[in-house]
Parts: sequence; C-alpha cells; structure tokens
Amino acid sequence: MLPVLQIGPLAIQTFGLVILLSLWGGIWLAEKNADKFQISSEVLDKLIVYSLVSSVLAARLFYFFRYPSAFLKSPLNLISLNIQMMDWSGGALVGALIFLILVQRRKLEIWSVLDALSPLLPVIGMGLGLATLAVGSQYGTPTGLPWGINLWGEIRHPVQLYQTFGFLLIMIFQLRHLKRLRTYVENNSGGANFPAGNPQPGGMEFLWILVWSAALQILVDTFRQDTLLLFGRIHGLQIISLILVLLAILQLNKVYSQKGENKISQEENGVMNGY
Amino acid sequence: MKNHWNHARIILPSLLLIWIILTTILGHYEPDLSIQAPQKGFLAPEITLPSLAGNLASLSDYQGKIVILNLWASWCPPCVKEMEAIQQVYSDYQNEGLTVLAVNMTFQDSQNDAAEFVREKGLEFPVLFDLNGITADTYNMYALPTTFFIDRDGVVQDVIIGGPMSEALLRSKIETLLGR
Repeated sequence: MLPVLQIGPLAIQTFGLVILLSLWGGIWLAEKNADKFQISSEVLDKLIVYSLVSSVLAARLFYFFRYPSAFLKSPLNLISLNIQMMDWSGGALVGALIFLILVQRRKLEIWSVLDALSPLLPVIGMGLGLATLAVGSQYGTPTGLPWGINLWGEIRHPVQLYQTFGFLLIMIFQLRHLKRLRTYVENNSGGANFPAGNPQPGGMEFLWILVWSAALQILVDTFRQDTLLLFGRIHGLQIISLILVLLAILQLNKVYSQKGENKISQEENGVMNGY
Repeated sequence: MKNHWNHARIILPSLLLIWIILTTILGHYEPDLSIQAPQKGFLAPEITLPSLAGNLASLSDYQGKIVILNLWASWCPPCVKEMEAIQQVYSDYQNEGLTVLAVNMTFQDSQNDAAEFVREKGLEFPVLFDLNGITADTYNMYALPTTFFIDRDGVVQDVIIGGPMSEALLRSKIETLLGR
C-alpha cells in the first residue's frame, strides 16, 4: 500500500495522482488514433476538456445539494480544495450531458466520437486498478492461492491487479486492431457507405471495448469483498455489467446487420478479424 | 463472419450469465466482522493511550458514540489549521453523541508543545499521546493529518489522509454518521 507519496515537504495522494496520469495517458492515446474515426484530435480535446471541467464543477455542486446544512455556517467552503467533498456520480452525469450537447451542437457523428474515445476506457480501467491497490480499497476475498496479498488482516485475492492486467490485455488487443485499421485507412479510400477511409461502421470499436470491459468486471467482481450486494448475495456490479453487455450486443447486432446489407466483405479487407 | 457473430452474440452473454449464477450460488463469502483494520468497513483497531487529562483512555470507552479519530502533530501546519474547525463541530455536535480523539504523534513531537498548543487554542476534546508510535503503526499513518470517522458500532466509515479539512467536510461526514 502507498496511499501517499512523500516528496520532501509535499504529500501527494497516490490515488489522485494515478487517476490523473491514466486520464492523461488515455486522452493522449485517444487523440493519437482519433483520425481513424474521422474525428480531429483538436475537436476531441475540446469535448474532453469541457466535459471534465463541467464534471468537476457539478460534482462539487451535487455534494452541496446533498449536504446544504453543512455549508450554512461556512459557505466559502463551497470553493474549498477538499477533494473529498465531491459527488462523482452527479458529476459524471452532468459531464456526460455536456458531452452529448457539445456533440450535437458541433454536428458530430456520436458513434464516431465514442469510437475515438474508446482507447480511454482500458487505460482508465488500469489506472483505477493501480489506484485502488495503492490505497487498499476494492479489496478481494480471502484466498489460499500463492499470489494472494496480505491486506487488512487476511491473505486476499489481488483483485486490483486482476483488473489492471485485464484492462492491459484489452488495451493491447485494441492497439493491435487500431494499427491494422491505420494500415487499412492508409491503403484504401474506404468501403461503400462508410466515410472515406473508415472501414468499419461507427460504434463498432466503442461497443466491443464496452463488451470486453464489462465482461472483465463480471469476472473480477467475483473476487471482490467490498462490492455492492443485492439481497445479500447478488453482485450488483455484475448485473449492471451484464446489462451493458446485452445493450452493446443489441447495438452491435444492428451494426452487423447493416454491414451485411451493404455487402462489404471485411474478411477480404482483413481488418475486422481482431474482434 | 456472420456465423461467428451469430454464435458470439448468444454464447458470450450466456457464459457470462452462467458465471454470475455460479458466483451467486457458490461464491458467497461471509466477511469476518471481528477483523480490526484502519479501513472503511472494518472495526477500528483498539487503542489505549495516556491523555492530557492524566488518565488512560481507550477507544472502546467511547462505544456507542460517533468518534473522529484525528492523528496530528503540533509542527504540522495543516493539522494546526484544521483544529479550529474540529473544535467548532465538536461543540456543535457533542450533545448528539459526537466525540473527538485527537491523538498526538508524540514520538515525533513534543508533549509540552502539544499541550501548549491545546491550551492556546482552547481545545475541549480529549487529546491522547502516542508516545512510542504504536497507534501510528496500527492506523497505518502515512501522512499527517489522518482522520478516521468511526460510527457508533465502532466501524470505520471514512478515512481522510491529509488536510486541512474544512468545516463543511467535517459536518457532512458527521451528518452521514448521524443518519441525516
């Protein structure tokens, strides 16, 4: 465990540092590959920045609305630097809303934007795994396996590492696929009914990353102790992840049906076999 | 390709559903509620330390109360800065069952300096002295200040590393513990 990094007089919260670094890395990766989905990196950058800033501001406001009496005697605390006074679920909701509004206003194709953002997901996933390992949260159930870690009085499954390695694998597979996509884009002018240079329908990249990420959560959550339990037994995160998988598969079904109707042979192009 | 997709869209969610069912039936784990650890969801580790008042005080003496366990030192600027806010919330919520245990890291501070600071600031809550670092070790102190919010059952509900904590933050944590 390393919840704090002491650098001279500075004590840096490791959780926040790791999340920031993973956000930075994920954004860099997304911008580097944005052109494959006909999205400019500058536009993607603006979407991300505006969404993140609005998320942070909204997270503080939502916290205020949850505990208004706490701020009555000290209203200036509304702008305090305490990072613990944030309602991140509210912030994420507003961030997503702002994101959708901006996409609509700029008349962008939502699926192409989501495809361009998809490299962010596995990198953030890895970052979360490492960050929770640093602070000892999201800990695993006890185990006798040789790779168990000593945490909170027992030898436990290192679920934080399972998550990190799982997302690392997803990222590696995606990077390989994106490399093949780049090769295809550089060598071809695009297939019929797709934007020039884009050999796959919009949404495919994002939806498959969503499927694998959600499947990973289903597997990893099996070994988590401090997980949300419904009726005392059912892992809530597994149910949410399964719903996400089903929704993604429904949408992918539409995408594949459309592909079939367009009679484009992806096998001939040798690009889509990655998934 | 179409056949692969037709198979994948059935097999993948089916396998995941089977996994979830198996997890629910076979993977249920009853946590050991007797484990003490300085982490959310665990019983707060017991401590017994000498106090500024001259007696020995234990965490278990405050069973049934909401406890803010604050690790601090007189040379630590954020520790000093947040004491005013801690004193204010202690005054406001004391009658609702809140107590504050301010554990001074005396093994890396001076008992006289700590006592002088308490007198200057007019702090009214119990101040304990960790003379040999056992509490710091038990509570995994990595930085100062570190604050633990403990509910009436003695379970750690939140941990805040660093500071200074604002009054609003303290109040919001207390109100959560009070069930508001």
